[in-house]
This record gives sequence, C-alpha cells and structure tokens, in this order.
Amino acid sequence: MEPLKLIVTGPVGAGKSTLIRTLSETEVVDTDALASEAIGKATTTVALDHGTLRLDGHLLHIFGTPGQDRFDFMWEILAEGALGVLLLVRADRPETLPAARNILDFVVSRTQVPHVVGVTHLDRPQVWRPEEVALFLGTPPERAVGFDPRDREEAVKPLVRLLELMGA
Amino acid sequence: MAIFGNLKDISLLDLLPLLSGQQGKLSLRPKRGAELLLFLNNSRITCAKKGEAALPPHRVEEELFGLLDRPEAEFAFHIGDRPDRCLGRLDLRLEELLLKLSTLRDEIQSVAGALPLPDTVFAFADPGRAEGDPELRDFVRLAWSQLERGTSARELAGLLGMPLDRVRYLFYKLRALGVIQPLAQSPRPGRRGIARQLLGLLKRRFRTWSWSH
Repeated sequence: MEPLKLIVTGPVGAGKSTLIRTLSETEVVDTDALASEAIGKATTTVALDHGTLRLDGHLLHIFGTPGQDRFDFMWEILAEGALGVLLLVRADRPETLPAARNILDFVVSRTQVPHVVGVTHLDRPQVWRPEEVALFLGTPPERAVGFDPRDREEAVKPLVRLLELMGA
Repeated sequence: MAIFGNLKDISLLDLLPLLSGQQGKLSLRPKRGAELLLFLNNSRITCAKKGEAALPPHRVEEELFGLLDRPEAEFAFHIGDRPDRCLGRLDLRLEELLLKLSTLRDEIQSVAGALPLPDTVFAFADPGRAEGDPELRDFVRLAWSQLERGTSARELAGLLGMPLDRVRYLFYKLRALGVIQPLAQSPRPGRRGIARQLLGLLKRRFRTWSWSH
C-alpha cells in the first residue's frame, strides 16, 4: 500500500517533537541540538523528526519540521504528496502567532495539502482558546483543535479532525 | 579621490550626510549587480544612473534602501564630477531622503518577525482598500497584474527591482488592510476514501477517547 505522510510544523516550542514521540510506534529519529539563540528552551530540532504509526496495512510516516522560518524551503518539499499538515501553536505564547500565521499562509498558498491547527499548552493560566487562535490565523474554527501532545489518547485528536474534515 | 571604502564598514547613513555639502559623483558598486551612480550638488541628488539608465525618484529610494544594511558594496566619491548628460534631472533632498529611509528601515525591523515569508503567494482580496494610502495605492497599481493572478514577494521584488524586505513589508501592510490574502490552493482531490478508512482504523485503535468532542 502507498506509504502515507503527515507533516507536523509550527513555531519553536509548540510541541512538534513531543507529539511525534507520543504518536510513534517506532523509535523516533530526532535531530535535536543545543539552541544557538534564545528560543525559550535548551534544544531545538535542526533537521527533521521522524516517527511512524501503523494502522493495519497503512504505514503513516510522521515528519516534524524545524520551527525557525529560515527552514521554510523544507516545508514545500516535505508537504509534496502529504496526507495533511498539522500546524502546532502554543496557546500561552501569543508572540508566536505571527510566525504560525506565516507558516500557514505558506502551506495554504504553496501546497494542495489540507491542514489542521493543533493548539497546545492549554493547561497554562492564561491562554488563547483554539477558536481565537483560528481567528488570528484566518482559518475556520473547525480547523483548530486543543490537545495535549504528551498524552497518547489526546495526541491523536488533531489527526482525527484532519481526517474528519477530509472525509466529509 | 579621497573618500572611498565599503558600506560594510561605513554605512550609507553615515556616508550620505558626510557628502551632502559636496558636489560630485558617488559610485556605489555592490558585490553583485550594476553600479549605482549618484550625482550630488547642494545637498541634493540631481541625477542617478544604474548602468546607462537614468533612475526616477522612487527607484533611487529603492536602490538606496537596498544598500542600507551594510551589504558588501564599494563606494567612491569623485569630487567635482558632473553628469555628461542626464535624461532625468532630479531634485531629491538628501536630508529628507535619509530620514525617509531610516524611518522605513526602523518600521520594517519593528515587525520583522511578522513579515510574510518571501515565497508565500498572495492575491487580491479587496484592492479598493488600498486607496486611502498613497504609497500602498501606487504599489498596488504597479503590481496589479501580478496580484490579480497571485504572486510572491520574491517574484515581485525581482520584477519591480525592489528590495525583498520592502515588498514583504508592503505585503504585510496590504494584508492587514484586507487588500490581499494568501492564495489558497485547492486540496488534492481523491483522498476522501483513504481519509475515511484511516479514521475508522484510528477509532478502533484509540477507543478510550471520547469521539463526540
């Protein structure tokens, strides 16, 4: 059967690597390195994260992109033929929303791949709700899903939403 | 010739005030691209040429803006040189030009993280909304045919001979006003079947989650 590809993208610190580690059933290949600039965490993805999820005969390859927009050349190549793009955004860091919107604009205008916005860190004291994030990003509210990428049952939510919207 | 050097060491914002009281020819030779010649007299740019072409005022601004951030570009000032002939006589006050360029650079730097990516494709949403701002209105008219079909800041910068960041900044302002929006591609057809199949498989695998959301 045709291998399937899911792209996980978003600004630095949104939870992309965490989501892939949570969902993957095989050992995750990650490329974390010490951050060379102040990005709010010690390490960051410098090339790609990769994990897989097998669903009967279908093997879903999950690729995580680096969060910095200087890697934008990778997004178009990675998204080619992908099942969908999950854009992750932190609910408690509005300062990352413009970068997230730039990524989404790029994906929407350069690829034919459907997207869903996964909103993380909703357990923090002050957060943007998923529909508010959707409003800022200029995407319909049904495309934004709140979830916790550390929890396996939760981590599947944005993928489910993506498939529901694709199958509707 | 006594005044020469490289813009990576002495920025344009330092150099131009230094020369404003002089009469002569300023040659700016970037590492790539054609030489820019500015003829100065009485604190004004009176003629500007790139290659053999005389530049209109807006092109002079664009060229100088592109040279603001200390790129590798050699400069030399030839005191007393006058243009042999200049088809487009200019009267650009250096002081005003410098103020405009540095203000624009500050504006761009203040929103640098929010500027659209160079290859994102934008198209018109409501072009009429640019009418209230003369700068945006003129830019929209200049880029009309490209924005009708969809274009990126990188493509437009190349076509219009404008610095990429300047076009990204104009796109940023046009988007905020609702003049343009990303040109959405239609999703790839024929994936409804596989989506439904995978959804069913996921629902069997992850039984504990509430599917009602």
